Amino acid sequence: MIKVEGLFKNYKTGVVEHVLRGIDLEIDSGESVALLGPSGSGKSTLLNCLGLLDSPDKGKIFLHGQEVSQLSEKEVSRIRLRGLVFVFHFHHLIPELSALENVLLPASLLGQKPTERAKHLMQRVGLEEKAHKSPAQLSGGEQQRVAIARALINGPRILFTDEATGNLDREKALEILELLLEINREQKMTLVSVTHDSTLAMRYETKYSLQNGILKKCS
Amino acid sequence: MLTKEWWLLTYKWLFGQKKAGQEIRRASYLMGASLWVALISGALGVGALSFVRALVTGFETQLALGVSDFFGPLSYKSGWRSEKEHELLAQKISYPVESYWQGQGLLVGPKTGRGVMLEGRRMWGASQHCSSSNEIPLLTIGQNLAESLGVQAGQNLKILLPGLIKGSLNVKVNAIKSFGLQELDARRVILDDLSLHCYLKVSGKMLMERPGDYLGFRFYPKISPNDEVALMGEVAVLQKLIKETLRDAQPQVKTSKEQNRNFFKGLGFDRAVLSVVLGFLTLAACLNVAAALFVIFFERDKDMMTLRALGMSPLQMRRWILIQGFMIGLLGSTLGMIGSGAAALLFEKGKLIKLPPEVYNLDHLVFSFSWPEQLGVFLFGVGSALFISWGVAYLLSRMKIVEVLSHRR
Repeated sequence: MIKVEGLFKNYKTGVVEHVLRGIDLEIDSGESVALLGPSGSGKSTLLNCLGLLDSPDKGKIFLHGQEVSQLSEKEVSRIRLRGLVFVFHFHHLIPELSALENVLLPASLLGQKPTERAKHLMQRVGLEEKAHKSPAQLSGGEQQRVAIARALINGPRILFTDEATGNLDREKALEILELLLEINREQKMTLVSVTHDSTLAMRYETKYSLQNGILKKCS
Repeated sequence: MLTKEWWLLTYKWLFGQKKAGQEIRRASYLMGASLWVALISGALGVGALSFVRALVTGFETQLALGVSDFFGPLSYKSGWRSEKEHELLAQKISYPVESYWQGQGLLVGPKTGRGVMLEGRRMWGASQHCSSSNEIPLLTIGQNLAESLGVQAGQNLKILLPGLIKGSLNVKVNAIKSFGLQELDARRVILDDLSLHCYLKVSGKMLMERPGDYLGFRFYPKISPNDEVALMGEVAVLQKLIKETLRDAQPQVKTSKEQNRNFFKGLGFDRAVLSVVLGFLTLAACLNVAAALFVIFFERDKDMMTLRALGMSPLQMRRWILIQGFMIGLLGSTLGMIGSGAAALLFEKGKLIKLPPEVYNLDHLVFSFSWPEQLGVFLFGVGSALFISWGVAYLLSRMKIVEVLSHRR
């Protein structure tokens, strides 16, 4: 489902920093994958390239057999809207909108207002009682749950999370992770997560380690 | 496609209450403050432009009415032609027509004497027979002239018309008028030609010399002197009629503004200069709108890029920013127009703008809101905000999502 061939990415900040050095990767549909590695190893860069938020310098990315590394911004936006979605380290909820309105936001980009589905998702993440609260009235874990519900509103086939539990205490982090894995199993949705926590990574089906721009599958 | 939810989000984004933590509250307070500064400065720019346009237009309209009142909305200098020829043309016109001749004279009043530009006029259509009311020639004089001569309506004066009548004539001040311009009010006099004719007939006095009967026509169609399109239409009709009746190959029918071309050209120049200066000021005010939009969007670049990460296309984002610019422009311009109207009302009621009495004989200025002109000002305000929003939208659409949303930032 996700296939990467010879992916290279450099950053030029005075000196050239080789972040990704020829990454090859295959992820099946419905698989849960953890990307491990120390800070600065290029995990987020790889995830951003896979999630079409960043473009590689060299190499190819295929989603469902279609090459996507050279698509225009408009086409990439269309894929982001329906096919794949991100949950970031920080929830990035719009503060003026209620939790439910935040969840509905991506659907309104398609000109839709699936209120029932949004309520169901709020129920799924355990926040049906707090649907009309503003993000500021929710705890960190709850905010991240709303961000997950928002990510799921358009029924994506791939979910990328970048240190989505990094801000939370261990108990809350585990709760969120369990929720993500449950959704991954229930909806056969591919889950690719960046984490530096090897204990949390143990919960994923497949684990990869990234060091010095080289990706290795963990046993 | 932006649904009503996006319009609602736009409203909440711009004016909604932010119930976030202290840091976000502080940021939103600053954003709210800059938004209001932008709205107020945009409103002031548009308001000032609208106000000045209304002021100059009002001034021009008022003076045009005064000048038209004296010279007639339309005039035609026929050259000296006979009374019969004039009567013939006047008979073919459905609205009031006057024939005139011009000369110089000296008016002597109780206080002093004044040299004046005299215009003898005869209104066609009314009775041309002498009656008891024509026992003495009737004069219409300007307000300033009346004051300097020390005369009031109904009183008699002496007039000397050298080259026309030997000695002096007794005349009666029939009306005192103000035409708005000091030059007209202090120097010009209208003499009722029929009453002069009857008086000369009764008194046995004779005109010494007069090259012909009348010099030209003053036409009074029911058209506003400021409605130039309708006036030009009437000019064409009259020119055709004059060609046929008086056999003038190229008759020059002029509007009162054309007769006082230099004066109105000067006014037009003043208006253009003021508009350009205020246009720049409005643009400067719109830069405040730009600054506010920059603050609004660049302070919230994470929210914008989150929307992009969720699938908002660059085009949708640009359109959304344009909607916000449009809302700010619309609100600022509307506030400006309302402010301009309120200020005009206040200035007019309070008679707060006085004109130099040595030039204009107007008590105070009247504002005139010409809709096409004011619509232009309004669209200028909205258009400027839209233009600036487009710039902001362009810059934001070039921003990289990961650079903004990276947790290391």
